[in-house]
Amino acid sequence: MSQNVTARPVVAGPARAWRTRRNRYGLVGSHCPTCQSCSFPPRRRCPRCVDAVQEETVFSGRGTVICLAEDHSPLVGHGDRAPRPFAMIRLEEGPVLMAEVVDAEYDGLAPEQPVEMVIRKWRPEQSGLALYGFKFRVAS
Amino acid sequence: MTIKAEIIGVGMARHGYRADRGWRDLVFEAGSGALADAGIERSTIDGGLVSVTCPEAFEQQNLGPLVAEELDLPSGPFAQVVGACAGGTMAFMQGVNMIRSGQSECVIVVGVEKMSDVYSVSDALLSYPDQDYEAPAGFDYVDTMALMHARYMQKYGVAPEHVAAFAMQDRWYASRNSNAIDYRRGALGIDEIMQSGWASRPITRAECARGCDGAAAVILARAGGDASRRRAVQVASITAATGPNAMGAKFGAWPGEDDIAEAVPTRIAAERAYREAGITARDVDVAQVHDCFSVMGSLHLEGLGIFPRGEAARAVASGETALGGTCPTNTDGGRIGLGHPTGATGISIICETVTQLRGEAGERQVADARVGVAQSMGGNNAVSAVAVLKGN
Repeated sequence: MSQNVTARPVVAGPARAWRTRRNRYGLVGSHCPTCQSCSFPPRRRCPRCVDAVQEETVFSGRGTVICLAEDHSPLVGHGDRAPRPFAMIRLEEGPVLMAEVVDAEYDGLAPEQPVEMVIRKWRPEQSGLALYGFKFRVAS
Repeated sequence: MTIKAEIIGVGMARHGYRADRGWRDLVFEAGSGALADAGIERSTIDGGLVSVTCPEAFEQQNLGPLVAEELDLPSGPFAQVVGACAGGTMAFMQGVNMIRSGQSECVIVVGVEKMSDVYSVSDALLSYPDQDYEAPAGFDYVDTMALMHARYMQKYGVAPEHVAAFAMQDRWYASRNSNAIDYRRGALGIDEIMQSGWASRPITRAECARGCDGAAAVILARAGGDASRRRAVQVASITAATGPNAMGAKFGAWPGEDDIAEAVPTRIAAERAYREAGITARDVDVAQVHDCFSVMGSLHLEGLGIFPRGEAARAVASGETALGGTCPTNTDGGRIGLGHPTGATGISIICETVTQLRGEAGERQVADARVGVAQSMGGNNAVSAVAVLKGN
C-alpha cells in the first residue's frame, strides 16, 4: 500500500497544520498564574481554577512514562510500519500527553522510564506535505 | 402534571456484514419491526430522530427526512443526531424530551450504520478522537483504549485474562441472540482470546468490538395513554455527562479521579440517573454497558457503581455478570458479540433492556428483571449516556 494513501474524506489545507505548528514542534502550552498548574494543549481558561488569564509557556520536553501500549494495527496512510510502542507521558511541568516512543522496543520500556521529546514525521497530508510533531525517546 | 415517556415498541435489523443491504434497507427493517411491535399505525408517529456516526460511509447526510420518507411517516420534526458511539442514546434522550415537553405524543428513534461499505472502520471513525495531537500521530480508538487497558491493569493489579473475560461472556450471550454477529457461534475460551493476536497491545483482536452493519429502533409514547400497552416499559430517567476527549486532559480533570482508568462521565451520569429514577446501583437487575473493547465494559460497570473500582474485571471473570450472577451484563452479546454499528448501538442497548424487562429474551432472559440500565459512551470517555428503564 502506498504511504500516501489516506481514506479521510476531508482534505485538510496546509493552514490547519500551520496553526498547531508551535505546539507540535515546541510543546508550547499554558501556565496558570493563579494556581501555577500547566496545560497541554494550551487552554484559554485554567481547567482547575477556571482563571481566564493564561500565560504561554514552553515545556522542557522531559518527562516520565505513566503507562505503555504497542500499536499493531496501523491506520491507512501509516502502512508498512512495524509495531510501535506508545505511552501516556507526564511532562516534568505536570501536563500529560499521549505520544509514540521511538528508537525503543515495547519490552524494553516500563512505567517511570524517563523520556525526552524529539520531532518526527506523523503522517503524510493530502496536501502533499508531511505533518511532523512530537514523539519521545528514552532520555539520554 | 409531569408527562412521562414509555417505550411501546422495539425493532432491530440483524447486525453483521450485510453486503446486500443498504442503509435504507436496515432502517426499514428496524423501523418496521418497531412499529409492528408497538402495534400502531404509521400515522400515529408525530416526530422522530435518527442517529448515525459515519454517514460518509454511504455518502448521505440529512438523514431525518430520508428516514421519515423510507418509513412512510407523516410530515413532522425529524432530525439527525451525532454523538459518536453514544449518539443513539443521545437521540433517545431527545426523543424522551420531545414526549416530556408535550411537543410530541409518539416518537420513533432510529439508529443506523453501514460500515461494511468503508475500507477501514478505524479510519472512518478517525474524526472522533482528538484531531490535533492524537489522530494525526496515527492513534485511533484501539490505541487510546489500549492505554486505558494497560493503566487499569497497572493501577488495580488486574490480570489480562480477567479483562479478557468480558469477550468470553459476550460470546455466550451473542450465540443465543439471532440479531448478533456471533449468533450460533461456539463458546470462546480465554486461551483463544489471548492468542488471537495483538490489535494494540494489551488489547487482543478477540477483545475488540466489531464495527458492522445494523440498525435499531424504538417507539416512545406519552405514558398512560393507552391501557392496552401492557408490554410498555417506563423511562425512569435518561441523562448524559461529558469529559475531556483528549487522553492527556483526563489527568487532572477531576480531583481524586484524574486518571484514564476511570469512566468518570459514566459515574456522573449514573448518579444523576439513579437519583431521578429513585434507585441505587444495587437495584439494577440487568445492565448494558459500552464494551467497545473488553476493558471498557469493566470501566463502565465501575462507573455505574455496580462493582467497586478495580473489581469489575475480576467479577466478570468469576461469573457475576453471567445469567444467575449479581448483575447479568450485555445480555445481547455487547459490542464484541452482537456487533457495533456505532450509530445504532445506543438504541440497541435500549431494545435489549426493553426485551429483558418484558421477559421476552428467551434463553438469555434474566429472571425477574424489573430495573434495567443502558449505558453508552462516545469518544474516549468524552460523553456517557445512562438510561434507567423499569418494567410494568
